[in-house]
Amino acid sequence: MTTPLQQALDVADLPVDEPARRRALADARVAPWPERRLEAWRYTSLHALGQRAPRPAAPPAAEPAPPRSVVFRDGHRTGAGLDGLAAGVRLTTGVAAPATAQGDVFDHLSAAFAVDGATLRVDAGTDAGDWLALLHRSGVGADRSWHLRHRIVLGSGARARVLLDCEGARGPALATVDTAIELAAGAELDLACVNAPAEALSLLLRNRVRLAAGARLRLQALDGGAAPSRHELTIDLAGAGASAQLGGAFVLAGRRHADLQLRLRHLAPGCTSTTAWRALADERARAVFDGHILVAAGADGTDARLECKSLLGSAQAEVDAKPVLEIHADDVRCAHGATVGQLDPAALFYLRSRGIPADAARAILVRAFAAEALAGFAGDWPLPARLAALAGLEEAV
Amino acid sequence: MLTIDDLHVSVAGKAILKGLDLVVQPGEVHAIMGPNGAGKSTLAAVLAGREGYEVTAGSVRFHDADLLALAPEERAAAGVFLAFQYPVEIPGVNNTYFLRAAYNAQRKARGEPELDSVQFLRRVREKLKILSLPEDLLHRGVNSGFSGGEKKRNEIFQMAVLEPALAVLDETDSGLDIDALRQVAEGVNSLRSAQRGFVLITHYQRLLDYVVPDFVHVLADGRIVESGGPGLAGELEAHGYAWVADRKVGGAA
Repeated sequence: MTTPLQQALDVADLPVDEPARRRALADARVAPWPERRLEAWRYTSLHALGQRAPRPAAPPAAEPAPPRSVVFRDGHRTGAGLDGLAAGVRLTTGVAAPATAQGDVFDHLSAAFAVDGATLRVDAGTDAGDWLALLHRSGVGADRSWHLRHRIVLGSGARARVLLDCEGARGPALATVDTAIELAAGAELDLACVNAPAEALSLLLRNRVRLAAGARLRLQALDGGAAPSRHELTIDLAGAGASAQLGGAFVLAGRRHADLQLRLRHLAPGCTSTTAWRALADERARAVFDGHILVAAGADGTDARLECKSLLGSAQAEVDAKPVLEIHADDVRCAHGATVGQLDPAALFYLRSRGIPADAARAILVRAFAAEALAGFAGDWPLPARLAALAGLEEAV
Repeated sequence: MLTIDDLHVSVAGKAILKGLDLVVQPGEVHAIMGPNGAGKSTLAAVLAGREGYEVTAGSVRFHDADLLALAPEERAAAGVFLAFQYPVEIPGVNNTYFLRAAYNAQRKARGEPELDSVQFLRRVREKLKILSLPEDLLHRGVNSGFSGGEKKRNEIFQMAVLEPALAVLDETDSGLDIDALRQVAEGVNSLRSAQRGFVLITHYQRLLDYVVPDFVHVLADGRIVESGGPGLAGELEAHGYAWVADRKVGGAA
């Protein structure tokens, strides 16, 4: 079954009329639409999205960009502040249609329509310094679609800190942001992902990370939910001694929906991973945590920890937490767990008894709970301050 | 300032307070003593507005307001403070942040200007000095990982920062060693003033050796059955609570 969204796809809308894009468009038209009977889509319905007909937006006017950032609006680069990057650090923009489009309907759509994206290359042994931000924005107005494909390539021993910020993305739109990340031996990447609440946006964030021996990924993610906001995070610990430290929080209200699909594969010996997520769902919101860790045969000495703790703020809110460990090696240390609870009424009363109004007291407790997932990360991260705002606190302390 | 009139309170359908009367004027310290199960902590909870307590009859007036009609945060802003018998641990919420949020929320509710973080920190440091508390208290999570004594001292610290008109201390002395008890008592004494009223709820007399009350009341079976001066606490200590019950039975005969 294809959807009205697919049927409305039009060759005339292609940004460049070329064979590869025509092929991708044809594939997108006939690709199976993700249905809830598929395990990976069981808790996230794209039915409403499939009934819409978002169209590619025209390239917007240029706009100023903060230092160390590239601004993308509606899938087009509209500004960049890239003066003074260190030698050995190159951040370029633009993307070509891939020769062959693989994957699902969204990969085909991206292959057909994406015209932009950032490519960050950091040479071996080079430290790219402070945070580099990719700022994703979209306006209000007619239903639109935009697609970006980024690439981050760190040479041996290189270091970089990258913020993928979708806080400025608003609906109504279908947006896909694909980031392919390659970390050579001993490279270190700090990656921060932010999606602020946007009721009408359908956002698909696909991060695919491959780590060589001794490489290290630290990732923080903060999601306010959308319609839906889905983060597909695929991490291959492909070289011995690679490590991943992942922490994230969903802070959801209204009818917003956030979905993390983690596919973390320990493919080599001596790799470590820790994954800590916190999900807060209030009102009619829904959070999905699907965390799958695979320990491949031969990945001895693996240390993998996976945890998701959730708080439900109302009887209509829902959290679906599914931590899974699949272990094919012998000498491993693995742990996983999931809990679902509610805000502690005793703590709430304690705060109120000191004069803090009920809403603010709730926000304080929500922030404290979510912040647990962002604790224990080396260096300064931008997300704890963003969390305060998302939790509804007027100021961060 | 506080007038409790014929207060009846039930918890889960069971009558706990059965016609309690109490009047506290500014500057007065009232001790409420009584055996376990008499309703002491229920009184504290009802005054602070904890959920799960049903007032079936009677009234509580604070200044000119119906205290029972106010939300817990409104009571705090009106000047009522409860020192908890079991202070709640809230990991991840910084003590200073919490106190400033509370302090400024109260000021905002009263239409007073809020303090910025520098002004607030100055005020907090003064209070720490008066109470001889270590500064690291400010940087920790609210009661998180605190010893029993530290939690109780943190309650007194909060009271010192918030400067309530009426402080209700619910068995703040329980579980304290003699040094911690003395520190808590010094904290209370340093806050005694002609404008401030205290209700000290306690099971034992020993707190009253350090904080000498103006009045002592004996709470038994949901009512105040005996009131007197500070000497009453000593008599209770000597004779036990059964002595009061016996006297009541004798008086009724």
